Formats: sequence, C-alpha cells, structure tokens
Amino acid sequence: MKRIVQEALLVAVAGIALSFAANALSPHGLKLTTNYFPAKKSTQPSAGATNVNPASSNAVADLTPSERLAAALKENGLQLADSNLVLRLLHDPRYEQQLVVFIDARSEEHYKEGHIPGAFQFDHFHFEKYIPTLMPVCQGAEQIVVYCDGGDCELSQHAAMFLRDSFAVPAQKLYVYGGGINEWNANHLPVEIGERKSGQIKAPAP
Amino acid sequence: MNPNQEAIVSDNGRREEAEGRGQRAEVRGQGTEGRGQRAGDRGQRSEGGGRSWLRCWEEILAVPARWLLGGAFIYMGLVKALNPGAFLELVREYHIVNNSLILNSIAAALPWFEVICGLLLVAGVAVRGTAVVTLGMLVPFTVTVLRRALTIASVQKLAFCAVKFDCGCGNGPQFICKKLVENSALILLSCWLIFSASRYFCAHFELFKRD
Repeated sequence: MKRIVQEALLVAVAGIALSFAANALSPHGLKLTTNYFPAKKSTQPSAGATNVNPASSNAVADLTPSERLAAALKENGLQLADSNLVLRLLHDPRYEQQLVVFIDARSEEHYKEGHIPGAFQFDHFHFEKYIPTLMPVCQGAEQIVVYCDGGDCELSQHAAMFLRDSFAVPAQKLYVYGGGINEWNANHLPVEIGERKSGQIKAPAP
Repeated sequence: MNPNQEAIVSDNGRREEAEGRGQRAEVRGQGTEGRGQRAGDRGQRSEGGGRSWLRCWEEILAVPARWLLGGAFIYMGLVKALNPGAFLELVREYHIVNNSLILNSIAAALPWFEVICGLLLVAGVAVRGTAVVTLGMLVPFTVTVLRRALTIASVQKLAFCAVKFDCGCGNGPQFICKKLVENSALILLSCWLIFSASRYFCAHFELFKRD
C-alpha cells in the first residue's frame, strides 16, 4: 500500500507540473495572474450558488432573471439593454459609423455559428487576441452593447466589467443585452455567420 | 532484473527468470499459485482452480475498465482544456475560492491533469497510483456537485432528479441523478483498478520496485 501511495504522490506532483506547462503552451491557456472577474461580486447570489442564504433565497427566487440581472448590473455601474433598445441601436444610423458597437462575449466557436450582424468578438479570457482591434473601436464608440447567450450566461457582464476595469472603457457607455443571442434568435432576427462582415447573413427559421 | 522480471520457483525447484511483462508469480515453496499468474499457467495448478479462473477474468476485464476510466478522463479533460474560460466560469459558480490566482490555477491545470491521468491509465503506467489520484478527484467532485444540486433543488423548489445544470464536468448541462450514477461508476472503476493486479497491455504497471 505504501508503494501505491508513493506512486499516487509522484503522479500527482508530476501531473500538476505538466498540467501547468500544458496550459502555458496551449493557445487556449489562461493567464494565471489575470483577474477575469474584476468587479465585486453581486450580493444577490445566483440560483445555483452553494452559499445561498436561506433567508434571502425566497426573495431571489421571486425575482425574474431579467430583474436579477438588472440588479447585478446596477450594482456594478452597468446598464441593462432589452430587446427594444438593442433593435433601436441596431437600426441607429450611428451603428454604421461604429458609434454604436455590438460585442459578442462568447467563444470563437459560438461566435462563428452566428452573431448579431456586425458584432465584434471579445472572449475576455483571451483578451490579448481581441484588444488591438477592439480598443480603438471602444474608444470611438458612444454606446457599446455586450451580449452572450442570455439567461444564466454571465460572460457579457464579465466582459463589460473587464473592459471597464482593465481597459478604462467608461461604464456609462456599456450596456449588457440580457436576452442575448438566444432571445435574438427567438425573435427570428438575422445572424451573421463566420467572421465579422462576412456577408453571410442567415435568418433563423420561424 | 527489472520490476517485471521476478524469480519463479517452479515445482521441481529450478529457478527460472520470467521474461516480459505480467509473467510474475510469487515465490512459493510449493506450486505456482499467486497473484498475477497468466492464463497459460493454469495447467500447472493443483488447487484453487475456480479462484484462479475468476482472477483470470478479473484481470482481463480490468483492461477495458482501465481504458474506459482513462478514456472518460481524457474526454472530459480535453473538453475543458480547449475552452478553459468556460470552465473557469463554472468553477467560479461553486464559490469555493474567491482568490483569482487560485481560481485561474484550478481552471488552467485541472483539465490537463485529467487528460494526463487518463493517458496514464490508457497506457497502463503507474496504474494503481493513478487510480488513487482519480479516486481522489472523483470523490470530492461528486460531493461538491451533490451539494450544489441540493441547493438548486431547494432554491428552485425542484425534485432532486429534475435538477439539471452544467457541473463543469465536461458533458454540458446534465440531470443530476444521471451525473451521480456516472460518477459512482467511475469511482467504482477507480477502486477496482487500485486493487486489481492486471498487467495486460500495461506499459509500466508500477513505478516502484517491490521490496
């Protein structure tokens, strides 16, 4: 038994060392010292949180996801965009001048499967890849709408906070589209496939 | 003599060297009964035939068990390693740690660690030690997932088995009861491999030489 424990320890130590090396070499690897969630956490836990205070759990359960998101955003100085505002901004003449900008906070794979036409991609876990393109756009924009899947997805919030805290994008410019791409698709709105401005526009089947 | 070459004392007392992997038998004064005997030795046995037959099958079945456990770890690890950002979000949801360095380290290293353990099991390297490590991961993961599911069931007023969420295990959103059955099966496979002596298709069954 002693040999098995020794073997397990050796596997664990060598495995952990190799794992960090693999992360460092991987193009998808995380930067260990980067704080990907810079804002203070919401005092209203999500439904799945393990540290739910029983006294407040009923109040949390009574809130709609949209209200919960609005409260969390307000606490972090961000604004919630509903589908009406998003549609208005998409048809705003400023959209063509990049004074209104949409940012898709999902992974590259999901972005290429379909995004709001003209939206930039920003996976904040690999920010160094996107920031050179995105920063000049954000600096020139008047309104920036960040979205992800919607529902329980928090990527859009975190990406917005990351832009605010790490790249000094003013909070008053930042909106989070709570419904996200799922609501967009549910409303049968067109999506762009592949790269930004690929010209492949697809309208979801009704 | 390498660890896989151990002396065999056969019935007539001649000392022979067993060549190759798995040809190990314990040194005994009489007969060649012992752990790790090969199926080919069966004819030499004079007692315990039923037990040896069972052991033989156990050792054969341990191979697919090892590959299954290893394959599961490789798959689950790779899914997370290819999208560590999403895994980081899911780990954060557990509210186990708040320190970003620790959180990032878990999300960065754990998926690759699972892949490495899976590869070791599939290749048959340090099998028992690796099985201890996989057991050491599976048990706390399962307890943590169970606790979260209980919380969700309580907050959302759902029946336990109706709880469905992405536990960060690599399979996307899953019903909790299915997940617990899967994890229990993997825990049993790990336990089996810790106690199994099967050396079939093992590149290097154990790292340390026997005393």
